[in-house]
Amino acid sequence: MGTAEGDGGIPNGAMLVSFAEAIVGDDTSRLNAARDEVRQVLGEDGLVDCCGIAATFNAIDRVADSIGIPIDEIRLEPTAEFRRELGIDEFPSRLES
Amino acid sequence: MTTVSYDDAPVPIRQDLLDAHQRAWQRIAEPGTWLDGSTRTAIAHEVRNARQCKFCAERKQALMPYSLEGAHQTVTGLSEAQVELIHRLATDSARLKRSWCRNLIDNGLSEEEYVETVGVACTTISLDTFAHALGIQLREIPAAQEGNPSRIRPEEARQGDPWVPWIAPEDASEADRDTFGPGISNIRRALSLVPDDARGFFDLVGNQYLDAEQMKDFVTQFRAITRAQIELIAGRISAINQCAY
Repeated sequence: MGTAEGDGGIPNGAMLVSFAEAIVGDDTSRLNAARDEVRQVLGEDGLVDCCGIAATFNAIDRVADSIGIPIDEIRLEPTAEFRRELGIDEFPSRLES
Repeated sequence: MTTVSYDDAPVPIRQDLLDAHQRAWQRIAEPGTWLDGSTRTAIAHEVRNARQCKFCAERKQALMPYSLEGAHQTVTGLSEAQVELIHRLATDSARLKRSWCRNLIDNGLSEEEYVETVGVACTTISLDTFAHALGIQLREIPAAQEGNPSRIRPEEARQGDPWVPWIAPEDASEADRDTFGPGISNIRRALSLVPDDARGFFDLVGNQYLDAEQMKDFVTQFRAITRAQIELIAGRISAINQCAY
């Protein structure tokens, strides 16, 4: 694991989490500031990739939620512990899929 | 032909991504499998309208969303069931239930129309989220193109664990093995009752995120950011959306 404080062991992790939160939040000034920081640190291509990934998952989550797909068999056991620890098994979408 | 431009973006958009967005908007405007172009573009308009719907805002705040009664503010001539589906997708998707889905289908929305509506709405949400994240105006929804839906239901689709029929891995035809067959994740077969929308949605996913082959490769770096950084953003968005999948 990495050593960067607050980054969860991932380079610029805290900055990326903040950008992701701002994209699906409703604070425009926070989003603008987070975007500027990402651009400055990761460059133009990095910013575009971050936007594309956020755009993907903000939509793909809704596909999963509305079709009620089950978690893939192959992922059930390996993810069981952290799903329990993070409370993911208590998400309404988990209880309904 | 739909033309998409990102000339107003603060940074250059790579060509493959621009092309994928062009194809996505084109698909929204074209007749689909069960819905015509007018209905598909209306779904895109309704996605945007949902963000201003007072009933959606009240329900989002409610502890028990299904106990609240009211009417959506709509800007299209879409059916009540379709508007309910689109608005919930756009504003409160984490609390959807199987019984809610089946109720929409019992009230006039066919299973195929349900799945196609999800595909078009989620494509719009993705394209709009990209523009929002970049800090630019949402792209103009293209004019609907004339023509009739193909109305072809895949013979191999059947009811399985999800709320609507899909193509199970073991049922995928030889031609669809790489798309819906064994070893393909459930999310990729979620929309398989309407295969064209499933393929179209994942064409967009493949260019914004990673395609199916790239997802399996944890060594090569396909984007300007690392795989760990990619998955961190993905995980945070999904946690905020309370998506268990």
